[in-house]
Amino acid sequence: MRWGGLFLKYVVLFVGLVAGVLAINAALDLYFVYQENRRASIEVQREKAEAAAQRVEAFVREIERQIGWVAYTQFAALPAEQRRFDYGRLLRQVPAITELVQLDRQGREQLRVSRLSMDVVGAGTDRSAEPAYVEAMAHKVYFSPVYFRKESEPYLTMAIAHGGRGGVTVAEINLKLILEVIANIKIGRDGYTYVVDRLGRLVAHPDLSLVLRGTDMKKLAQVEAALQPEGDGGKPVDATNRAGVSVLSAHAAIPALGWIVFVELPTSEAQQPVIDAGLRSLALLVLGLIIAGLAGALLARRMVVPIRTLQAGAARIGSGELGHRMSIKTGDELEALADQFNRSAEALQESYETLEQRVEDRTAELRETLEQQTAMADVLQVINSSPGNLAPVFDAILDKAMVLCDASFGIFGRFDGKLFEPAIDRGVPPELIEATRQIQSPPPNSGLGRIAAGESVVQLVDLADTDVYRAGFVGATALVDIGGAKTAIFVALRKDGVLLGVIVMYRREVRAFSDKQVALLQNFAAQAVIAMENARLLTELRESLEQQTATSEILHVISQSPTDVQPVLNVVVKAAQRFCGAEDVVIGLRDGDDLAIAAHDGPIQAPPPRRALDRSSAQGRAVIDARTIHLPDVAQLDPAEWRAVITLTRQFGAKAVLAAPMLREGVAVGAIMLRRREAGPFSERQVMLLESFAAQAVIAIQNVRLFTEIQEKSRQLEVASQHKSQFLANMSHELRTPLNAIIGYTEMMADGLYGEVGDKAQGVLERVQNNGRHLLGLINDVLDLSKIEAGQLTLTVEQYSVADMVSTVLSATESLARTKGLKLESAVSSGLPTGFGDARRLTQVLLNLVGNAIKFTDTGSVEVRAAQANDKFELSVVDTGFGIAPADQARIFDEFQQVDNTSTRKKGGTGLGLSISRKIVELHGGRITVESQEGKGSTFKVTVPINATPVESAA
Amino acid sequence: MRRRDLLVGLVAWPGAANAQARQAKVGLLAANVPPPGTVEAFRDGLRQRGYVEGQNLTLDVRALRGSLEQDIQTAADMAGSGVDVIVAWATPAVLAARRATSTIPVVMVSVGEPIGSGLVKSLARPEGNVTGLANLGRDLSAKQVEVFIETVPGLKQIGVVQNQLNPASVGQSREAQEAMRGLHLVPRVVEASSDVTYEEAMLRLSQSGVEGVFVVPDPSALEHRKAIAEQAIARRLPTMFQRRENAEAGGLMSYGASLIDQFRQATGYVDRILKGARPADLPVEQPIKFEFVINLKTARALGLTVPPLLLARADEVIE
Repeated sequence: MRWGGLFLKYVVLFVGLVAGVLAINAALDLYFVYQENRRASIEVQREKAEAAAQRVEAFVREIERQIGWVAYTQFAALPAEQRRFDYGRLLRQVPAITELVQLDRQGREQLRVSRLSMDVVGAGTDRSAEPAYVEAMAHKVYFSPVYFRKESEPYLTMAIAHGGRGGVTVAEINLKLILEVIANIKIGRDGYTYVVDRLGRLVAHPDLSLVLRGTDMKKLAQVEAALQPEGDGGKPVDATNRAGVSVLSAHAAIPALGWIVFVELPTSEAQQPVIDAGLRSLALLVLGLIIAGLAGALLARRMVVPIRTLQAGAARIGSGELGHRMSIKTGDELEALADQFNRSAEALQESYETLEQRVEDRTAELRETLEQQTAMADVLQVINSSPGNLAPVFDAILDKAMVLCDASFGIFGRFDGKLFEPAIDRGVPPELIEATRQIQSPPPNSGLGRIAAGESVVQLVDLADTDVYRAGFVGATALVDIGGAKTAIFVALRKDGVLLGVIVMYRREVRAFSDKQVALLQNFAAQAVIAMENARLLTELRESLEQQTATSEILHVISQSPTDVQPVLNVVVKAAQRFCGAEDVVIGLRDGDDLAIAAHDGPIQAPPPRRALDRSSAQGRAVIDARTIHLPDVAQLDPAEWRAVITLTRQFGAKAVLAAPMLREGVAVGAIMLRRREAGPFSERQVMLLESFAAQAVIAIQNVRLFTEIQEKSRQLEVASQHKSQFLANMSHELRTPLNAIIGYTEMMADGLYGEVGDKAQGVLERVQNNGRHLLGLINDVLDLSKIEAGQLTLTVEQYSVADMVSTVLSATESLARTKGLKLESAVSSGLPTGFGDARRLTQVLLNLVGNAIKFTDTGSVEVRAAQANDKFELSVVDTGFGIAPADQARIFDEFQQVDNTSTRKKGGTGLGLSISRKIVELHGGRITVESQEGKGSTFKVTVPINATPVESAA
Repeated sequence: MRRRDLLVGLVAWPGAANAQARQAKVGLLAANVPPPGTVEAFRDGLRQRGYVEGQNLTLDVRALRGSLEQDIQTAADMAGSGVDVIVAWATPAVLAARRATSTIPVVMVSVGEPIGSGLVKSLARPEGNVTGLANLGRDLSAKQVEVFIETVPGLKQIGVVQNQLNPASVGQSREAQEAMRGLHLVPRVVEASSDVTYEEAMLRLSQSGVEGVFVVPDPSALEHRKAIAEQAIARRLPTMFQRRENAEAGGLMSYGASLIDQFRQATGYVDRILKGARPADLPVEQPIKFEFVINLKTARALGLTVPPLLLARADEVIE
C-alpha cells in the first residue's frame, strides 16, 4: 500500500533522471543531426540538380554529336541516296529524332527524312528565313524553344550548320525520350527530376502525362523563382510540389537550351536521417527509460522491500505482537534499523512483561481491596438498613470476615463486662459448641483472656503450641482436638476502652493471618462497635421517645379529664406497664389511714380495694416512708417485716415488687407498684420510669383537685353575682318608686300645689329636687348596669339618623356648655345613611360622652363629629379638657371607675356612665375607645355598624 | 482515397490490411484474338506494377467475334461484370466498350484514329472515360507505302486490304491509297476481316494483277496473319504490314510500333486508373519507336531481292 508510493517515487525519479538526460542528449543530437543533414541535403540536392542538368544536357548534346556526324561540309555534295541513307541511319541510331531536313547554304530544303512520313528529296523549299537556318548559320548550332506536336508531344528543333558552304541539318527531336534520362536519375527514394523550358512549360517529368498535357509549372514557387532573370544559382529551397507535398527543391539551368532542371526530394525523405536519428534517440530514450525503470524498480525494491518489512514488522509490533522479529539482511542502514527495531521490540517486550506482572499484582491487590471495601460497604449497608438490629450486622461481618480471612470457622462473641457470650458462630462444629458450653471464664493467658485483659488483637498461630492447650484448658483442647483449629485470631470490640465483644477466626491449618486480614478484622470490629453503639443510641432514643410519648399521653388525658382522676390513673397504669416492661401495675391512693386501690392492670390479681396503711406492704411502706421500695425477690424477705407483702405476693403469685411513692410536697398521696411473677431486680431505668409515672400521677391528682376547687368557687361566685344583680335590680326598683314619690311631691310643693312656700323652703325644695334627680339618675344607671349584667338589657333596633341624634344631644347639652362658657360644636358629614340600631341607647351613649366632656372641660370647646367609615359610623367627641393619664385610660370603661384625682372628685358622678356606654356600644357590635393627652384634652370615639345586629349579652 | 481507406481500415478493422489485396478487376477486351506475347506482356506489366492474377487481380480477357451486336453485347457483359477498368485493343473494341459504358475507364491499346473515331477530344486532354495508346496510323500510312515500294521495286498496282468495320482501318486505307496515287500507283481495295475473307481477298487481288498487297492495319490481320502470309506467298504477292508479327508469320515486311510494347505500356494507364486517376486527366500517348522488319525468307520465296540500303535501314531482318 505505502510502498507503492516510495517505490513509485524511486522509479519515477530514476526514469525522470534518465529520461531527462536522454531527452536533452537526443534533442542536442537531433538538432545537430538536423543541421548537418540539412546542410548535406542541400549540398547533395544541388549536386544532384547539377548532375541531372548535365545528364539532360548530355542527352541533347549526344543528339547534337550524333547529328554532327552528318553535319559536315561535304555532306551536301553527296548523292541524294547517300545522304538519305545517312539520315536514315541517323534516325535508326537516335530514336529521339523524328525527322531530319537538310537545307543547302541558301536555306533551301534539299532532303527530308522522317520516321512518320515519306522522304522528300530536293523539294527546294526556301526556309532561309527560319530561325533554325539563321541561327545555325550564325552560331553553328541552334536549339529551338520547345514546341508541342499535336499539342501534346514535346519537340525540340535542333539545327546544326555543316560549316563552310555546307548548309544546315535540321532535326526534330521528340523530347519524350528525356523521360528515360530523368527517370534514371535517382534522387533518393521518392525524389524526382523534371525539366521546364524558359517559359516554365514542362519538358520532361517522370509522369509523362504531365508533359503531354503541357503542364505549366510556373505556378510552383520554386519554378517561378528559378525563371527570374537574376536566378538564384539553383540553391535548394524548401518548396511544395504539385501534389502539395513539401519538398526540398534544387535546380540547375541548361543555358544552351534555356531549360531548367529541377531536382526535388520530399522533405520527409530529405530529413530521413534526422528522423532516423530521432527514432534512434527515441529508441535510446525508450531503452534508457526501460533500463532506468528496471534499475529504479530494482533499487526501489532493494530499498522498499526492507522498508516494507520494517513497516510491516513495526506494525505487528505496534499491534502488540512483541515477539515479532524482523529479518533484513541488506547489510546497510536498513539492516541496522531493523536490528534497532528488534532490540526495541525486545526491550519493549521485557518491560511489557514486567509491566504485566506489575499490573497483575496490582490488579490482585485492587481486587482484594475492592473485595474488602465491598465487604465493608456491604456491612455498612447492613448497618444502615437494619438500625438497632445487630443480628444481621454481626451475621454480615462474620460472613465477610470468614471469606476474606480465609477462615475455617468463626465466632462473634459479646462481652457483658464479665462473660463472653457467643452471639453468632459460623462453621463451628456442634460438638465444639457442646464442649465449650460450660466454660465460664477463660484463663488470663488464653486468647479471650488476653483480650479481656486489654489487648486488641491476639493471634495464636499454633494453638497446639500454647500454654493453655498444654495446660489442658478445656476451651483450648476442645478447639484443637474437636474443632481441629490450628490457628486463631482474636480481635477485640472496644468502645471508649470498654470491651464489648470479640471476633474470633479459626483456621484448620497453621497459617498466620496476614496484616491486611488483621486490619480488616479490626475494621470489622470497629464497624461492629459502631453498629452496637448505634443500636444502643437508637434504643435510648426510642425509649426516651416512648417515655415522652407516654408523658404526653398522660398529660393529654389529664387535660381531657380535669375533673376526674380515674382516667388519668388508668392511663398511668397502662403507660407504666408498657414502658417499664412490667407485667402488672397497681396504683393505690392514701385515704386517711387506709390505702385504696385506684387503678390496676395486669395478669396478677389486684390487691384488696381498701386496706389499712402500714409498713408491711410495699405500697404502704413507700407511702409512709415516702421512698421507692424495691423488692427483687419476695421469697427472701423477712416475714416479720414484710408480712403484707409476703401474704399478698404469695396469694397472687408475684415474686418481685417495685413501689414508688406519689409525693406531693414531700407527702405521699399514694403509691404506684410494679409486680412480676419472676424474681429478679428491676432495672434502674424501670425504677426511674416508675418514679416519673408516680410524679405524673400526683400531678394529675393535684390538677383534678385544684380544678374541682376552682369550679366550685366559680359556681359560688356566679351565684353571688346573680344575687347581687337581682338585688340591685330589686333595689333600684324599690328605691326608684319612693324616690319618684319624693321628687314628685317635692315638685308639687315647689310649684305651690300645697300652698305657698317660702324662699328658704323653695331653696330647700330645689336642693331636694336636684339631689333627688341625681339619685334617680344614679339608680337608673345602677339599674341599667344591673340589667346589663343580668343579661336583661336588650336593644330595640330601629331606624335612626345620626344627624338627628347629634342635634338632639347638642340641644340637650347646649345650656350646660353655655353655662361653662364652652364652645359646643358639631361636624356631621353630609349624606350619612340611615342607621339601624337602638337610637335611644346610642343617644344615651353620645349624651354621656358629651356630658362628660363638658363636665371635665373648663375652657375651650367640645366638638361632636360624625362620619362614615365603610359600613360603620364613627362618632367622636373631642374636648380640650384635662385629659386622661395613659394608666387610667384602660380603666375608665370599667364599672365604678373614675379617674381619681381632685378635679374629678369635684365633678362627682357615679362612674357608671362609660361602663354603661361601653356595654351599649358592644351590644351594637361596635366599640368605644379613647385617645387622650393630659392637659390637652380627650377624644372618645364610638364605632358602630350602620346596620347593627344585636350581640348576645356577654354577661 | 485508398490511403485514407487504408488508414480507416487499419483503425477500424485489423483484417482490412487486406485492402491492398482488394481484387482489382481488369477486363481486357480484344477486337480479335490477340497475338502471342501481347496478353503475356500485359500480365507481366501488371505484375511488375504489383498486380498478380489470383491474388489481387482478376483479369477477364474476352475477344470480340462476329457481328457488331455481339461485340457490343460482349462489351456490355464485361462492363456489367463489375470490372474496374477495361483495356480495349484496337478501335472496334474501344468503340464497343465505349458504347457499353461511359463511366468505367477504358484504356485504348493501339488505336489508329482516337480523335477521328471520336474516342477522345484531344490527345493531351481526352475528356472522357477513354484514354490510352494511339497509333500514328494515318501519319504512318504514307511512310509504310514508301517503304513498301522501295522494297519491292516495279510496283504498279497495289492491292489494299482493309476492314470496313474498323473506322481506323478505313481511314488509314484512304491515306495509303492517296499516297499510292501520289506515286502514280494504282491501288485496288478489297475488304477482309476473317481468314476466309483474307483468303478471298488474296485470291481476288492476285487475279486482279496486283504486284503487291498493302494490308491496312487491323486486328483481324494479326489474328489471321498465318493465313494471310501463306496466301500471299502462294499467290507470290509481297505484303506490307504494320506489325512485326505479320512479318514473323511470313509476311514480307512491316513498319510500325510494337504491339507488345503497347500492351505493356497500357498497364501504366491501368495502374494509375486503379489508383484513382481519372482517364480524362491522362493524355493519350503516341509511339515514337517504329520497327522496320523484313522477312528475307519470304523475300527469297518470292524471288525478291531486297536492296542493301533498305536492309541497312531495317531494324530486324528475318533470315
